[in-house]
Amino acid sequence: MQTIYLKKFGNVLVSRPLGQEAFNAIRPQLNPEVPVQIDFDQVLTITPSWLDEFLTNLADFNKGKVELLPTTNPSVLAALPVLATARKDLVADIVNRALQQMQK
Amino acid sequence: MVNTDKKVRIGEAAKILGISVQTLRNWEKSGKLQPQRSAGKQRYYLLKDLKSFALDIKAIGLAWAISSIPPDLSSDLYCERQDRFTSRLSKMGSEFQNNKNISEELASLITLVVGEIGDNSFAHNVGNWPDVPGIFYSYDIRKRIIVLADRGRGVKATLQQVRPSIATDTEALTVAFNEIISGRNPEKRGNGLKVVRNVTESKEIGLLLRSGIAKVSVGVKKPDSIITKIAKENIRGTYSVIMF
Repeated sequence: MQTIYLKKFGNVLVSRPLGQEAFNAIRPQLNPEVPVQIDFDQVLTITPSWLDEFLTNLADFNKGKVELLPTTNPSVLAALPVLATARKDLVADIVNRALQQMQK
Repeated sequence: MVNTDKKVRIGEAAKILGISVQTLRNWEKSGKLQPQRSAGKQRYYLLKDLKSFALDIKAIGLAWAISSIPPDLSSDLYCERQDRFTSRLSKMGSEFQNNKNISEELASLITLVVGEIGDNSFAHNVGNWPDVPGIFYSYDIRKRIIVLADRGRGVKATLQQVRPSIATDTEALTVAFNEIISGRNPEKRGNGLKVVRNVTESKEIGLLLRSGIAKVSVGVKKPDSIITKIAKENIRGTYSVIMF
């Protein structure tokens, strides 16, 4: 398992171009065959646009082998249910798995 | 102590407000900010009036959004490019996070709302700004408000690109806050304002967003639901006030 610590990208993560840029920056360090987990700790805000762009690129890259670690981050908790509804693809699967996990 | 009854000439008044003399003249014509006249008909401004106006970021943001001639803004109110907005947003987020009167949850969600609305202005107008690129962005923790504005094409023109049947500004705002639709089809996007709606309807954050002759609003006190109405004046781009 590989872990991406989002705090490495900053305290406030906003906009699609920067979500894409963050993925481009981390991609060389990732093995597409190995599952990835995402750690939201110590990030104040992630906007839905940034998160959507980052997850979409990551899911395309490793065929959806992505796990979102449980979090209490209010901005993430606000964005996930809308992403789960808006998307009908690997991203929706990732988000729904995380939401089910966090409800347990 | 500063004497706020002091009278200042138009050049100094412009410097104090961080705008050009021409902008002040335009504001005089439009009634946005009227000078006093001396017995000799000389134009002057009272320092106290300027200070009060300067602190009213809602008035400055609205004036910037609706004036036919775009006024010059000082650099602390204006983000010409997205990277400038992102950097100021991060600074605001940290400032809110460290403010003992604002909870961590509120700091996180206010930053989300401001980030999505400001980012939309850039994403939907890049390469198509009708006159001045960028956004007005200012906040006042003391008054618990944040103001964003752009002189872009507005929500209706943006959404008509993918749904030409949208006929009115009211319909455009209703669609923007309720449906997963993007003005940048076929990109998979368009969920940001839905999250903004959920957040403002459930948390202690209020929103007024105007575009064209329509406005949506939700109060700070909860429970409250977002409502769409007709506004008095037309705003070509967008104008938003976030309250908390």
